[in-house]
Amino acid sequence: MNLSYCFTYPSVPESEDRMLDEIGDLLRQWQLPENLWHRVMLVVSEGYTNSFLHGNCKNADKLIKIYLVLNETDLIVDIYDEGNEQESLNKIKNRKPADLLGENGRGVDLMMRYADDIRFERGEKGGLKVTVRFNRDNKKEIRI
Amino acid sequence: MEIKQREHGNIAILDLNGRLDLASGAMLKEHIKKLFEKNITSVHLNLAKVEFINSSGLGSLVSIMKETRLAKGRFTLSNLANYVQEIFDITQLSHIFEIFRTEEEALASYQAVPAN
Repeated sequence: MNLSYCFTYPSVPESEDRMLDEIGDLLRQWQLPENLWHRVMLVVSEGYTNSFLHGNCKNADKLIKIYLVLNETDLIVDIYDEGNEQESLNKIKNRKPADLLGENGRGVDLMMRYADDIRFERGEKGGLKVTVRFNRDNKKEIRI
Repeated sequence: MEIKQREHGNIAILDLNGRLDLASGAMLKEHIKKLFEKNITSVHLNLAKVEFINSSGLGSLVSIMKETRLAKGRFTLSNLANYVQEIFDITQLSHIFEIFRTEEEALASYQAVPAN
């Protein structure tokens, strides 16, 4: 069994709500356990926000693509932007621990915390591709 | 996200309903900026109906907390869902916010520790 779906969004503020609604609904259709649903929503949201702010720099002409694949063992999500992959990778590599009173800098750490595996690499059109994998049997907890 | 405002003395109580993310965080900051313009600097957020928060939502709350401190006011939170509380805990933000189990407990604290 392999289920897959692709969503594409322009980099405009209104896309965020649409993305969370659509992906939230898809994950409900796929009947993921509540615990996993919350983890995926948070991680995808963080990946999307990084693509919107740092990859595509809010350029409405640039797209964010999110591919989801559900198989017997895993849920795999690929998030693509159309920014500069090298700049994005440098920002991720050189990031410092979030300042407690800082307003930014917590997203990648949250993604690493809640995904079972995460990879950053060059994607389509020179942008960044972020792949996150969730093991369906992993009981990694999130309080719900 | 929907924001409903009530008042308790000179404290503005905001009931948030929905997701606290990049867009709604900006909306909340704008709402609170308008309160500051009316010299209301003590703000309580009831998060009972916040179903989702991410790092952008957290960032907006940190920004509001800093603005409130600068204005010599207070900024309190209550009724966090387990999921939301967990995000505060793992980012260690629960150490720097005034978080109460219930709205009543938060409002009672204003009598014990009023804003400057």
